[in-house]
Amino acid sequence: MCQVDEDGVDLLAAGDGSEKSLADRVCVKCGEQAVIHLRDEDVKCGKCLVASVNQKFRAVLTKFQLSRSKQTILVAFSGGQVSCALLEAVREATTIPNFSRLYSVLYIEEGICDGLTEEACQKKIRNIVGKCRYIFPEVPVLVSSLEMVFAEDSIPLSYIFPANSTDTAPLTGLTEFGARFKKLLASTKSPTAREELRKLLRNNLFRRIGHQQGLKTLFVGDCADRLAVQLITDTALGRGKHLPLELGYADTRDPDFTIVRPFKDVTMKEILMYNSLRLNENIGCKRAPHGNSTRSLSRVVLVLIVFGCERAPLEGTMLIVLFDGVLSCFFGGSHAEEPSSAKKMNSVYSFTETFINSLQKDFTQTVTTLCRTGDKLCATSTGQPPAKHSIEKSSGKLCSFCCGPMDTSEEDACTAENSIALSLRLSAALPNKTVKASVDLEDFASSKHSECGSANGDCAKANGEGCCTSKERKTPEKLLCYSCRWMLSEVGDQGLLPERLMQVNSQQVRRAEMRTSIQNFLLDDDV
Amino acid sequence: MPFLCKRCSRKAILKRPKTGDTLCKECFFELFELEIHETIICAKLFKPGLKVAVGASGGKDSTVLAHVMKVLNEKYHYGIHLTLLSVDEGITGYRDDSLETVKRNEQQYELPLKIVSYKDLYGWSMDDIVKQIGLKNNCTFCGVFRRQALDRGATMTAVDMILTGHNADDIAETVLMNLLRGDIARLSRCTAIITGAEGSLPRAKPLKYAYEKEIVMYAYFKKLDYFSTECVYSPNAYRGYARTFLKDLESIRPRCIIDIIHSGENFAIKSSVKMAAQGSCSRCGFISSQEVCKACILLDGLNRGLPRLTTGKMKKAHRSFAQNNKQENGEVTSPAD
Repeated sequence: MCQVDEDGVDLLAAGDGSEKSLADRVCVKCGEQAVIHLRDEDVKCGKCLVASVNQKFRAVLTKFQLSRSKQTILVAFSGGQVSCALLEAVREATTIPNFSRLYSVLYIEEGICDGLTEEACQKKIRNIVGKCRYIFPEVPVLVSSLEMVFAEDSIPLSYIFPANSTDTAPLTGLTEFGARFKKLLASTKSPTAREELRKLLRNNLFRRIGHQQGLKTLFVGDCADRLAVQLITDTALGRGKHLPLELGYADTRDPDFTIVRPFKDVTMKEILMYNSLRLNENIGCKRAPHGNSTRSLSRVVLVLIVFGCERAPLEGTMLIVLFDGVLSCFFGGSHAEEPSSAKKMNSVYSFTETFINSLQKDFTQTVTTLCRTGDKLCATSTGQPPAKHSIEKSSGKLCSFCCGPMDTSEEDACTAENSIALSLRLSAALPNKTVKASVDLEDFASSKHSECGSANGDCAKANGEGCCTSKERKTPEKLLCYSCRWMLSEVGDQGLLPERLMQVNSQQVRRAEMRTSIQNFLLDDDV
Repeated sequence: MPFLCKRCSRKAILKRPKTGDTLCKECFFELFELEIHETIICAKLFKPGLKVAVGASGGKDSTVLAHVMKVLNEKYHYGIHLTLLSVDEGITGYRDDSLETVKRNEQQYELPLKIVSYKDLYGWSMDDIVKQIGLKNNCTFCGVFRRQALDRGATMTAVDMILTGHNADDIAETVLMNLLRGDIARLSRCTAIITGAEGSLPRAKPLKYAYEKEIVMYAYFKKLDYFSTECVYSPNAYRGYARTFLKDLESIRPRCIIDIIHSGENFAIKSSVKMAAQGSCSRCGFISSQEVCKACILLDGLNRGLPRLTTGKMKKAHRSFAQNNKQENGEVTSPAD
């Protein structure tokens, strides 16, 4: 763990009984002095650990037949621990003839969500590009920012080639889009919805950049610990059906752009050790892994040097750790990953993260068990062929926001979705004072009504303040999955959402309506 | 300013956890009962003439269930014959008190009550079991025996279905627990409203979409007579983690409970994953996913004085059971060495 705060230091310094046993143990592979205890009898020396992480990475390349393809692969880079390890593994692979291929780093600046000024964002971008250069000097870097999702046509991108200086060309439209993005976030009611929206827009931006660049693959740095948290978070948000896409090796919801998770089976503990062995400079990562890994890291001679904090309070803090003869520097910084803001908020993700981390302390198998459970829940992880995909989307089988499979239940089935819909319908019907005393709820519940509770789906006509006050509000819901529907309802001003996203939506609504009207004359379901 | 009921504009006394509406007592009762009725109708739980036993522990969930079932059966003319079925685990200071509550409910709701006890069914009360094995793993015995005891009791009273008081929070918690434990077989069936393999008695959970908080509110404002004390033997620690987590989630996002159930209903389980099919025990004939059910294995361990062996790895327990069976030709023996 490299959490650069007092807690982190305490944890790092805290020793326990397992240290001694590790000192006496040897690597299960080569018999050298072990440096890390992974699980049960799995203890490894540094060399074997690095080899195994690299091996896991290459195995994914082989699995998806990416080692032979000539196309450039995008590597998402956030500056956090997992990203750094991923980039290092990518660099390592390029030195092996069979795996040598072209990569580009993609960095999306999200400072806008944390309220950073444009200047601070530019500074952060320079910092990140510097890190990329440090790990993989030859790689070109593409930089964009999250608010660019509002761009109507092509996404403004900055290209930084190795020969260039790390100074980036300022991205155009930053202020205009930034203001709109801030408004959108402010109009979103809950921290959880804000986080979900941010994730949705980020994935949307990834896809659009991929299409724009004509690239088909993106590597993201999701490790086992993060996916375990994601499993519970998705479950808590009603995304049970989307788990195959959210947790599997590959997210194939867009057949033209696959998001691959090469570190799906690598734990945070392995990544921290990998970084401390491979990279001299470890870039501060705010997300803390589970306590167990901390204890293994605590087998160190710890030197803590705090330099003057001339920049942001955390940015100047540096932790130097001598770990079995390897000197590692942990820079505290504001360039951490998304959870930096998630941490502060009471979102479902941050609650889950705390829960899983504390559980992992007492039950060391938690993350691995969750990952194994996740694997068993991935029944539909294979990608759809492009033709079929577009049909499914237009015929309403895929959610038009997140592109995950639709999980709407049959109208009269006994499901959680219908049960909550009934509660909301009844709730909407309560204040109807047009009928003398009150609505007869019984008749109301048994008759078929729209989602909002009005008989024809247009409650605005009835009392002027129903949930269907505008057409825009009503239409997209038909084409959204359970969880996205909830998210949309949390967005106060839906007019602030990117037009492109909403346009696609209304197009799909029209196509779905056309399809319904000619349904009886279609000979093939898949047309 | 006093809050007004969103429906009838009388003085509101509560805020409904599910929707946030302010309601008066009567409107809340009506909504709560109506939603349970809708669940029953949607799931097509009953046919007229069905004999249904409500698993009654004396706690809030089963007391509310018994009350609501009686009300709905009269109001909507389901035409079912309701009875109460209780299990006496033999825990002094806990079950004896809660059974008194159930006995009062029998009078209040005018429903016939049947009590089956561990002591009669298995020859061991929970107090005896704890004396033998201590406070570790005792919940394993209690849980396994209770499931079967309900089935046995239902067979004795010749009912067609058992209703249990599991609420939405319980189901969401079970989904989380099964994810954390990696128990795919249970994960796939824990959200079903009716469970039970073919040939065995079906069990249904009419309160599966009712929030625990609303159940407490219903019981509180209806002034129902129920018993609320934790079991005197240690509660399940691991489940405690999941429960606390769920309560935390609920505090920031009340919808989480229903959303977790929705996820549970939509999990896509790989066809290649091996899952134990539910059948019946070759020894006692009650529901089991193995050849011999866990209750028989545990009971065998208790009778042989080796209860710890049977709470560990199932493979070991089955091997030990088979060996003993061979030696003793299926007869229960005195403690083996």
